[in-house]
Formats: sequence, C-alpha cells, structure tokens
Amino acid sequence: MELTKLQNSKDDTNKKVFQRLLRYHLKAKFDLLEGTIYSIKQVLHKIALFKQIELSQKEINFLLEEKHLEKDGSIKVKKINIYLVRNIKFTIGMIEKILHCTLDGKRMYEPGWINLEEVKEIRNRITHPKKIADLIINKEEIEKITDVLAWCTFFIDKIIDILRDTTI
Amino acid sequence: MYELTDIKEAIDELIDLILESQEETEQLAKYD
Repeated sequence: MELTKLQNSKDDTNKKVFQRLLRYHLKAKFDLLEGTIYSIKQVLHKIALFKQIELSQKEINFLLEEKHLEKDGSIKVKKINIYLVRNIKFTIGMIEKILHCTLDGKRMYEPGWINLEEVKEIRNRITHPKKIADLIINKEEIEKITDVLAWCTFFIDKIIDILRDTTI
Repeated sequence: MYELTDIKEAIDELIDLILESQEETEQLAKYD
C-alpha cells in the first residue's frame, strides 16, 4: 500500500502507520538530498581541477565543506555546516560555473522549494523530538511535506540528468 | 591532478549511488 492510500484511510492503525512511514520517508529523502549535494560538490571540485577552472579559496571550502586554516595559522581540516537552502543555491551556481549548464528555473521556485526550510525544521523536530506530540505531523505540514518531497525528486532527477549529459 | 578516466569513473559512481539510494528511499513510502 502506498503513502497516499494510507493517508486517506479511516482506520486508526493505518493512520499511525502513515505517520510512521511519512517520518521515515521524509528523513530518508532529506538524507538523500543532502548526500547528493555533498557528493556532486566533491565531483564538481574534481572536474574543476581537471578542467583547470579557477576557483576561489572560499568556493573550494564550500565545495569540500571543510576549511583548513585556523586563527592561529595552523592547518587543520575542519568540517563546516552550511544551511541547506544556501548550500543548494551555491551548488547550482557551481554547476553553472563548472559544467556550463542551468537548472529548470520555473520548477526551482515551486511550493516545494519555498517550503524547503520549513519542512527541514519539521524533519529536525521528528528526528530529535522533545515530546511525543513532536512526532505528529499535522494536515497542513503533510501538504507542505508532499510538495517538498516532489521537489526533492525533481531536483535529484535533474542532478542525475546533468551528470549523464556532462562531457569532459 | 586527475585523469579523464578518474572523472568519468567518479561521475558514473555518483549516478549509481544516487539511483540506488533513490530506489531505497522510494521503498520507504510503501507499506506491505
């Protein structure tokens, strides 16, 4: 049975199963999105080196999601955290710069994109709940999550298309 | 410095990894 059928079920058990599956699906989709972004940035860095495309130190830091220079001048590799939406915008910019292609502008700004940050907060809430109620996803949130999940699928499919079409 | 084959391999590996993870993720949205 698929999520949409469970969602519309009148049965209490099905409703509980729907909530549980939606939580699993949402967390997995964000993991996939974040993993895809991280991985394509690693590949973009390799391509930039190979094609000798000039990148600033800041661009390299954000591509690799790490910084190397400490305040005292010593060199240490440190992981940096980047806000998801900013990270996606940066990645799109790097795709354009390194691979010379653009993403579909219209679909980028559909409701899924607009609600991405908010749904990420829902993902964080259900991942680290402070109380039982934090695990419950309400009707309005379900609608936003549905849009965001569709957007994530669009975005990840687009990344795959871009990778397939890449000529070095 | 990377060789052309390294880049192509990295791209192919990434496509496979994303597709595989995408399939696993979609399975989570189904209930038997």
